[in-house]
Amino acid sequence: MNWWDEVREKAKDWRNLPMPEPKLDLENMKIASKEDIETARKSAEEILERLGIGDEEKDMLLGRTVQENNQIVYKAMREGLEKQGVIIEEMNLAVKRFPWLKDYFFKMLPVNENALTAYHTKYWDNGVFVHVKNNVKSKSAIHAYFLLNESSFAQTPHSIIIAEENSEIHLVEGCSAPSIVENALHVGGTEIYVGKNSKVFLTKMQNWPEYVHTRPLTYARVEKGGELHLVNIVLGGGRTTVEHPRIDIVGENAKVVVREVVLSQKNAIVDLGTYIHHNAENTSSQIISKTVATDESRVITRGVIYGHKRNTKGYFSCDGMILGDKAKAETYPGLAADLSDLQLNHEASFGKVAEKEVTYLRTRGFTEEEAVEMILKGFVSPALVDVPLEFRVEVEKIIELAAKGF
Amino acid sequence: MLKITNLKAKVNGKEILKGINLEIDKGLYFLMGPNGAGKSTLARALSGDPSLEVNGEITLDNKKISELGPEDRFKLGLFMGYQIPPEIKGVKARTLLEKALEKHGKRVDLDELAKMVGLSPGILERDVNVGFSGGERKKLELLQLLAFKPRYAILDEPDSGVDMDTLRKLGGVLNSCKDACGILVITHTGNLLKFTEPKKVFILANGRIVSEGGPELVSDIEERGYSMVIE
Ligand SMILES: Nc1ncnc2c1ncn2[C@@H]1O[C@H](COP(=O)(O)OP(=O)(O)OP(=O)(O)O)[C@@H](O)[C@H]1O
Ligand SMILES: [Mg+2]
Repeated sequence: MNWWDEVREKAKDWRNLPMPEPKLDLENMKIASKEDIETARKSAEEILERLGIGDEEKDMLLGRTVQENNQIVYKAMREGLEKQGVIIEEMNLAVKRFPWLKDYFFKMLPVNENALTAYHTKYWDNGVFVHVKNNVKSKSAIHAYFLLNESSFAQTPHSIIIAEENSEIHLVEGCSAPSIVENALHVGGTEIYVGKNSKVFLTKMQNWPEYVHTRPLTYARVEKGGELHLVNIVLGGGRTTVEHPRIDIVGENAKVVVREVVLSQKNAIVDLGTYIHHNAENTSSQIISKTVATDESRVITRGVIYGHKRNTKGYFSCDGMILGDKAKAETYPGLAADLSDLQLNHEASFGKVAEKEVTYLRTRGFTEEEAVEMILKGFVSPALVDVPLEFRVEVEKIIELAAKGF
Repeated sequence: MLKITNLKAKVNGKEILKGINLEIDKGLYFLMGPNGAGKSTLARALSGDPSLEVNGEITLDNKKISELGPEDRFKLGLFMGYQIPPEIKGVKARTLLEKALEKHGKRVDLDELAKMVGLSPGILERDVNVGFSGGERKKLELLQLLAFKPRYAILDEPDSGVDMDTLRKLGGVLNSCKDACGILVITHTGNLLKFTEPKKVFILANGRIVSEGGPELVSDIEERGYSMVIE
């Protein structure tokens, strides 16, 4: 048996492990066929149409650029990147091409922690492998998923990002193509290795239809002097979205910045929170979380910054706006310190759109809808600095929709 | 003419304005009165603040506006400068003003206006009122009076907490606007009298206009307080 299939064996008892809330009936989740994907793509297209998203972006978000003639362009792009020292490869091929990947593969993800981690391990299928070599600095944003053929269809993709010493990479992950059917499940795994003095920027936008359950499993390790910048934008929220990334800072002078934006709709349940462990001295982290809960959705934002070592600096800010009477949002920003020689702070505020602000804007000629829209856009903006324009456009469209229903 | 007839207003069920009658033409007017008398409530009622329960009639050049929302009153040429304008996080002052002006079909040089009211140019790049000093907030409101060029304006204490130079500038701005605009300035002092002169002064107490007169009424009150007009 291949080493990458041997990993699956470790998780063979996934059925006996506890299932985190909200529980999913994994046995009865459907896995999409190619025909399903086409059907789902059409319905997603309708959604995007309704949002008034431009053609070019629509193509990209639907993964439609992954077509025959584009494949040639992308192949050339990948070859170009590879010459520079950035390898982007489908995981199904990467495991064959790079035997040494074994030392990174499912090394952070705790296989048997619960039914989901084990299920993912047992059934992982494709994903993206990104490898940035020593001293290679790639500064422009790369849409890794769209450079690959099959991986945007996978429902249990496993992705690995390795940034070697003194390197830099900017990755963008669009709302993985909506290759999804009724009552479908998406359990992707991501392992990120940030090497010494290297920088990894990962911006991810998820925009699942309202019948999708998604459980991204994200793990990262940051070495001495390294920087990890994670931006996670959750639009809609599918049916349920639960994501609790775990980041371990293992080297001195390392830095982690996490920004989360949640715009939940319909009856979505979203539970999002990052857990950062400071296992080295003189390290810093920052989590900025902005939630807008609309319709009948329910959002929980949480997370903990753990200060285990001296001179840890951690800042956690968690703000939420609740639109209408039916949406609910809660926040539990956590700080935990093992010693006193460190500095951890948090701030949280949750509430309705301030009526005073709306009225003020109305006295300057804006309608109520325009006022709410402006306030919400302003509210999420601190979490969107440096986010690619096409993502920002989509976030703004959703806010405009939300303001209409205000 | 801005005409207010038998205006009553409740805040959280409590009656604050008990029947206000007031008329304003082009020119400058002062509204004075003790703290808590209801001056800001009157300004908010005129602006169309939906959190107030308002009765009575307001007309703007013979057009009834009392049923309209704040944005429509603004469109018809009514501007309210807040006593304490709110902070709006994430919205740059310049963005707000440009958008509002665009909707209003007006083009102005915001930097020029900033200079006129004594705001440092960089401040327009900051979030609306976030971290602004008291005086800076007043100046941003005054800047908007200049930008929107309304037909009628209610300015709620534009002179409170501002330095001498700003007071002088404020006087200048009021003088430059008052021929084209009816301005009701809510104030507690006669400080502005050095630079400009109101046509009329109204005194509001206990939810009613209890007295009106010329500019001399300001100095009377400065000397003797409100006891002379409230029994
Ligand atoms: N939301 C509210 N709830 C309860 N009372 C309120 C509310 N808003 C205003 N009031 C009350 O209404 C009264 C009038 O307030 P207003 O702000 O109009 O006074 P003012 O004349 O502008 O006073 P000042 O000179 O201090 O600015 C005050 O007693 C105030 O406490
Ligand atoms: Mg007042």
